[in-house]
Amino acid sequence: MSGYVGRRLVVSAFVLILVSAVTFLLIHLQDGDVLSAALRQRLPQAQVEKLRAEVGLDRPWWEQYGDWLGNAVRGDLGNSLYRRQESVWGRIRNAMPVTAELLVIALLSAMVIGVPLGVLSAIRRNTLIDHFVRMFAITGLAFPVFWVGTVVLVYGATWFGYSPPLVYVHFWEDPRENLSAVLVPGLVLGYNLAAYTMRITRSAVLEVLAQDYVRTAWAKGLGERTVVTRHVLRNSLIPIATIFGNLLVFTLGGTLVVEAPFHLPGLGLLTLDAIRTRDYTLMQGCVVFIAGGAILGNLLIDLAYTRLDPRVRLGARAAA
Amino acid sequence: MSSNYWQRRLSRRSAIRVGAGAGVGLAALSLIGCGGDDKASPGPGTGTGTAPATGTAPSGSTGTPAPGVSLAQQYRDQYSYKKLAELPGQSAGPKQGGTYRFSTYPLVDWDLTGPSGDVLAAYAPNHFNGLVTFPMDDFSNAHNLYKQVGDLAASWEQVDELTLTFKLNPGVKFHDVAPVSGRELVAEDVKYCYDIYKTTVAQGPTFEDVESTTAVDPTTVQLKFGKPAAYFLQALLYPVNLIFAKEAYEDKAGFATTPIGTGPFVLDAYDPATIYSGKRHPEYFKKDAKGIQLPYADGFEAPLTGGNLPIEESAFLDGKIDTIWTHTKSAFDRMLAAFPDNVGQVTTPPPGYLHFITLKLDKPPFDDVRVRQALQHLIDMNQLVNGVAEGLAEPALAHDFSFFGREFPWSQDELVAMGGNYAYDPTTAKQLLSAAGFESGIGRTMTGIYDIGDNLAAETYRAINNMWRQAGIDVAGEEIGVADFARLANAFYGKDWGDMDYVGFENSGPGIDEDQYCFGPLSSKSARNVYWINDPALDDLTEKQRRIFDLEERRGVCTEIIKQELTQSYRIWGIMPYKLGVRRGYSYNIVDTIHAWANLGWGCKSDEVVWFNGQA
Repeated sequence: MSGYVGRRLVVSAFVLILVSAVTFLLIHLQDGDVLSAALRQRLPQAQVEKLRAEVGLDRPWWEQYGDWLGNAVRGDLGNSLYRRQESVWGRIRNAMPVTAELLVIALLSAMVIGVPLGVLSAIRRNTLIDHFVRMFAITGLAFPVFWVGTVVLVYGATWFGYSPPLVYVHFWEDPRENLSAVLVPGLVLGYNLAAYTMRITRSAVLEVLAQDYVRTAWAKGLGERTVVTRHVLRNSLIPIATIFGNLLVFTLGGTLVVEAPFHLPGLGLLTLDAIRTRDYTLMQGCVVFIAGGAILGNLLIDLAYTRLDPRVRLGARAAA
Repeated sequence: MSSNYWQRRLSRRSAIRVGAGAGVGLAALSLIGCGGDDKASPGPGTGTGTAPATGTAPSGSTGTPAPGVSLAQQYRDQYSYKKLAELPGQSAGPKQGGTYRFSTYPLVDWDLTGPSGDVLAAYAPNHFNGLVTFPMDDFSNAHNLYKQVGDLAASWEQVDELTLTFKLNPGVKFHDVAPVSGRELVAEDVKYCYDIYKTTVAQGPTFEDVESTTAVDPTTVQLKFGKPAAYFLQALLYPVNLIFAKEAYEDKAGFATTPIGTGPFVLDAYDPATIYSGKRHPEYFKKDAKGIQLPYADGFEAPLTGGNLPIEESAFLDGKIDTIWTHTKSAFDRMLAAFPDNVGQVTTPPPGYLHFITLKLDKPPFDDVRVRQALQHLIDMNQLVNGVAEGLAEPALAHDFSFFGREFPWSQDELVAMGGNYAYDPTTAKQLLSAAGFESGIGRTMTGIYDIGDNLAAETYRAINNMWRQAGIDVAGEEIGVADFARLANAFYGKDWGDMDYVGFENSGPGIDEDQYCFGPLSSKSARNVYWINDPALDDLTEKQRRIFDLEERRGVCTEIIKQELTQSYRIWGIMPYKLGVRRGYSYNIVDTIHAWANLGWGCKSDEVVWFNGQA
């Protein structure tokens, strides 16, 4: 197991370097740079060149990337180029809890709502309950998250006197204020994920329900609860765990769709800000951080397989 | 900013509120499921939008102006700044206390001398003062800003055409923040700043004729000019010509992160991801006419929402901010109706914010005046005003109408009379193109870009492109999102014009003197001319108006400049949208003027006089 994890971590490091290099190249392929985003007036060319030299933009891109990579390997992500007084790590550190909270709420709601509804829908197949739950799932998948978020903002204020706090406060500073900021957007994001989870769970449960061992369990006279929880649900968890990993990765990179309308200063909004301002140090930091999170999440899910299904073996032994 | 949760009790009301918040997601889903329309309706307990200063909501709020009166005229009359003086509470006068809450955008840094220093015009006056400023409160004549009032300067004298002397207010103190630590301002500080400003991006053009700045004594500053600079005093109002301390500037990193000035508020917090806030400067030197210490408010809190309209509207409806810029007529009507005592103000568009298109004038066929005139004739201004801006806009022209003593922008008929090709006339356009050698379109695809960061501007450019297409011109306009702003900016600086024929702009400023709309964009010798205009006649006229101190004579020259520009159609004009502001009825002096829109523009200068009568 430890050998497998070690190999995965080494490969992950290369993946991160590749991601950072591609991101860096893509930024530099685009027109404009951080100066053209910051400047509001035409400057004499000499002055522009002086400013470019000040932030190191006068050098070839591979030199800039080499410098960035060298520092990043030593744990120094550098300073933002747009807001030069701020460290990239400082901004990521501030944004991280916001995105983490959204992730937790969204994934929890996906599991808490999506899995039971999926099971219910499967065991009550083709009943009114099934139809209702499937409709719930289809609407959740059909409506874009940012649109649902905007509807919640506009009608929430008009009909329910609800508006999210304009300023994000960390959970440890004020839990109530914090939750009033992240709970609704987390649920909006979670609704979409729950719909997806429900669909996958329903399919997985239906498949297991058709297995011989389930028929045997029914034949033994076991109660519905026992059959579902002991025999069906446990054996349906592998595909659910797989999509959970996918959802984690998808949501980590996709929280922007709720961070933007709800103005939550998370990693998504920070990355968008970096793109908008052509701030390559900040963008590199954000992308590497998000990619790292996604890689780690996938690794954890792979490891979880061994717990969920003893037949699964990872690494060399499995290959053997 | 907020007190610690652990020191407070979780009340039942607040618990319900959080619960309600959690329920909103499900409520929205039920809305979706029901397939209801997305037309907002007032919530329970909301009023009908009668503004005390402006009477009942006009019939225009239902989109039906009175016969013979344009919607714009109806709204600007109904929600005129003139009615602000009649607000209940004005007679009792200002009160101290309260926190002014508004939403705004994050900024790059606090470096007034930096490459993005001009953006600070919407923030820096909270923390710094200039020598002179403009009057700005509910009682000021907001539509005639060609006048100056003292800020740090108690008085000033134009000794002769080349000498200007300022006498400073005594006892002005900087914020008590290291390294300045509350010391007194002296004339040497002004000299220090003005010497630096001669070479900076935002201030340089204003100071280019200043030959020397001398601190005659601790409270007297004398400016010597190389040439007569009739524009200078008014241009000095541009609120980035502000005074800082030498020791603050020498701490380069600190200067960019912490504004330390003499201004009404000391920076409390600034985090580009969340909040900008300030608290009262306890040693502020200004008092009002009744002797009440300024600023009236204890401080301000500005969430940096960055133009997120749904969340701003939601916050205003929920009472979390005191004022909102509503952008559209429908939003204006809705926000006004949210609370019975809300106050609306519809403000004449500033010449610095308007939608227009600039062409690559040295590239065929745009070097032919007939083609340019045809392009302007193909734009149906009525369609743009009524169709795109819901009736609340005027035909655009980037010149300061208030400089000419006007309260409102020129009408389309007046612009036509001055030589503008504003009349929608496809027949004339076709004849002009034919005379230029084009029987169909302009002989090739016309390529360009425009920013869609501003919805109204984007709609204007789309409509203009379609109008040109209907006339047979093959137009390929590329929409540039906010994320690609840098690309637009590059076009702005003239670097990436290679394949582009036009760029859609939303901003013709900054400027607070007509010189900044004459010499700035129109002289080939100006650094602010990014429009490829190279006209010897305009070079002469724009230089000439800078040297004339007689206002009437100068107005005459500037009128000639406008006529020359309009006749030549150097820029293709769209529309100037009105500013549609709504504020809570308990707030005073949150006022817009034609140049200074509160609070996202120079209107932040008025923050020191904002006051509240029973803030919610």
